[in-house]
Amino acid sequence: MRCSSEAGPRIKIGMAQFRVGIAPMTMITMALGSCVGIVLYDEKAGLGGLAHVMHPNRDKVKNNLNRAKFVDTAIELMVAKILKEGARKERLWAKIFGGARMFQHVTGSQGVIQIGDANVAATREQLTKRGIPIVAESVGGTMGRTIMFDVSDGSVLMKDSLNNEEIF
Amino acid sequence: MSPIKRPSYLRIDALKELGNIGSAHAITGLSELLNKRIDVSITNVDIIPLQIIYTLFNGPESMVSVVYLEGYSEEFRGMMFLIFPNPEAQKMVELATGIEIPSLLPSDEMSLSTLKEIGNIMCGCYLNTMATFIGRKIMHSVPQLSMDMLGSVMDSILVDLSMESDYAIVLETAFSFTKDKCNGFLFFIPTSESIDTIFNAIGVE
Repeated sequence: MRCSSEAGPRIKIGMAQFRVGIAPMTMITMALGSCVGIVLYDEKAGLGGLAHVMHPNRDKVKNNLNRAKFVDTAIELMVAKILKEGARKERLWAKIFGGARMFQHVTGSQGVIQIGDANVAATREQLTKRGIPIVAESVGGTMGRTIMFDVSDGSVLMKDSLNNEEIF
Repeated sequence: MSPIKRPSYLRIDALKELGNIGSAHAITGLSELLNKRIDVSITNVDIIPLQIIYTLFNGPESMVSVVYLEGYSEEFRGMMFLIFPNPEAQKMVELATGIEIPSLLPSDEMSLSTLKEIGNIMCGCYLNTMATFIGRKIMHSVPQLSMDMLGSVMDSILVDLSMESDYAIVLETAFSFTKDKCNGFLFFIPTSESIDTIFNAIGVE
């Protein structure tokens, strides 16, 4: 797989995990479906974060010990962490990926749910609330996505399931 | 931490037996459709972390075809899915239709419909067996198909389950056509309330 720069360690972020790191580093999260990959970046500090979230809202869920699983709490944790590492809030921007519809409809305990759409909406809401602009995105659709976030320049290489690559 | 209590060995054994009979019917259904001999390599019942499903084949990025449907009845709900890695899915379509196709494309309605029907037959047979055992009518939803990376497809299905727990009782069946080097997986995941319904119905303490 090609990446814009190969410098630094390649870190895999699994489902319901997040990571904050400093350049040089490449963070990878594989096979986002209805999940959303949220990239945060402060270019000047060379600090970046990537979260792989599954569900829009922590309050509505019983199994909620892992706070990195939910859009609202994962963003809260990641923003706190990146600021602690030395990023500045006014320099932060975000890129978001994922939230696809892999099936026409999947029935959930609350009826038919389109969890991908809900995840994207919650992500926008949480980022807007914190005044973090979304500078690039590839959301929705019906295809899975793998993303590689290069912390040295903030670029994100996205690959879909047909192996099309695009840089954001 | 898992809010799911580990069932007793007796219960696990009972579920295993149910799984065996269910998958035997499902495999017979497929075997009759294709007129081929099919071997069952694993039937397993266990509490597993849902994450394990993402490590099938070559990990989350492997291209798969997944047929998904849900069975439901009074106090019973379970999800069933049939997973084929994509080269095998193509083989399945060819075996079932008798027509060779150059490649399996998400835009090819005929192939998609064939795979859905295979899922429909297998899951239908499996759920019918369950229904006989628990003495309830089990309805099931229309099969849906997604052809994509394993991880992407599964997170949409498992997100609802994972809200309850990171673990689930999973009834797994792996099968293969020895001659055609073709294999697939059939999963049945009942919700935790359904497990109680099953045990109450079959009278296992």
